[in-house]
Amino acid sequence: MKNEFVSHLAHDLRRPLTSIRMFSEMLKTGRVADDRKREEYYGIISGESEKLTHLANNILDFSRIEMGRKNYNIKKEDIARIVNETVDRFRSYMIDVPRQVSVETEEGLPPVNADASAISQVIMNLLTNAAKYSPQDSIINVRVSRADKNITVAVIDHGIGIPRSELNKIFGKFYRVRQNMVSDAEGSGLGLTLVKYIAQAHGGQIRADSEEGKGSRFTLVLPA
Amino acid sequence: MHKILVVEDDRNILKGLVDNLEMEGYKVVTASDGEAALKRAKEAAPDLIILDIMMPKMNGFEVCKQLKAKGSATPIIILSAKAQESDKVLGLELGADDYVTKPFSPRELLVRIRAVLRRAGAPGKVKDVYDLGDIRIDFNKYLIYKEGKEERLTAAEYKILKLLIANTGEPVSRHTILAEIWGEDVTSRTVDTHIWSLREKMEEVPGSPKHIITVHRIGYKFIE
Repeated sequence: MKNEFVSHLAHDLRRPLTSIRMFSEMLKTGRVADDRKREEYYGIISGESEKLTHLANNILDFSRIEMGRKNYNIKKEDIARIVNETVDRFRSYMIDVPRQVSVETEEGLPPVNADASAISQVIMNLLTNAAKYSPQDSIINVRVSRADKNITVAVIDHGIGIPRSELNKIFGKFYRVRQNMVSDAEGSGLGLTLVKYIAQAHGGQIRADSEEGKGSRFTLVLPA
Repeated sequence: MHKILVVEDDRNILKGLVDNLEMEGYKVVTASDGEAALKRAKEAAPDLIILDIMMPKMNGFEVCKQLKAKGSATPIIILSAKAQESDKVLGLELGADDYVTKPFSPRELLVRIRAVLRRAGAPGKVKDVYDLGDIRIDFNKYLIYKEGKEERLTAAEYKILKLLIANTGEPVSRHTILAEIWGEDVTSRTVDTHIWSLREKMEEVPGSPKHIITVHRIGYKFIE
């Protein structure tokens, strides 16, 4: 399993590196005369670098968790702010494949006890998953609301969904969906494992509901 | 102008490849998954295919296998993030002409493309108009002018004549003509029938041709 993970990881690193190398070499050799093209290429290099950073962060965090060295700086935070900032970052990250994300936030939400950076990582992982497994022209909904004594953040896509038989496996280490369903563009197979770990470290949980062919809903539940 | 089919599911890498190849003067057609690749290869009749491996619907190895099983002689360069020796061996055994791993240098890729095209003897630079004294060939208009009369070329005759002219002085086998023009499902008699028709249109004495010469047991060659 671990060998397979390392093989996938090497493969996932090569994709963004390919774009970075290709576009930077094209720019370096001065073959691109058009200013708009140059700007576009710099944008792609920046977006692909973001993808590498995101991948590296997931791997480093996973490694710290495995070694029992991951600490969270938990304090009172405004969940709506964290969600909105993460969605903005996601939009810039997805510059090559623009995605429509709708954010609905209930008014007057109380603060949550959270490590803002870790919760942002959770939302980013859920958003990238949603983008990966749904058509480019479909909308991704993010809903932040209160439920009893908890705050919930739901990320909803209208994509391929997850077969019922696989729903209980998706939070497992190195789990990846069936390869023939989507492009093998990116993903370490660690994203949802981290999501689950971070949710639990906050005294919360992550729930997954899905219907094959219709889409998935991932709900992060955090104590208010 | 050589036509290259680029098969790649990563949008940025595809864009980089297309821009790079177009800057070099190649005509480029694209596909983003394995099934589309087979369709495009048949429709567009490219001179070369650049083929990714990890793709949705059908992987590149399978595409390569199916193309070769149908008798396609179009050279293939595999471009993959799968860098293990066993992957390279598999790709080459399935009939690929070269295997380039990601990330790659665009300049190196261009060198390899030129080498593969040279080896394959794919149609090179063919002028739009040929004045051969007794006849005039105008590829833009699909016309041959002979003794003041216009003879219209069919699509197959046009392709065969271009292929022969691109290899002027060199014999082109019936098998190559079949694979390049039809790809499958026709007999070598079909080639002979089209050559006979071409001679009728462009030779002063079709039974004693000056330009399209039979090469015994091989095929045909073009002489100016």
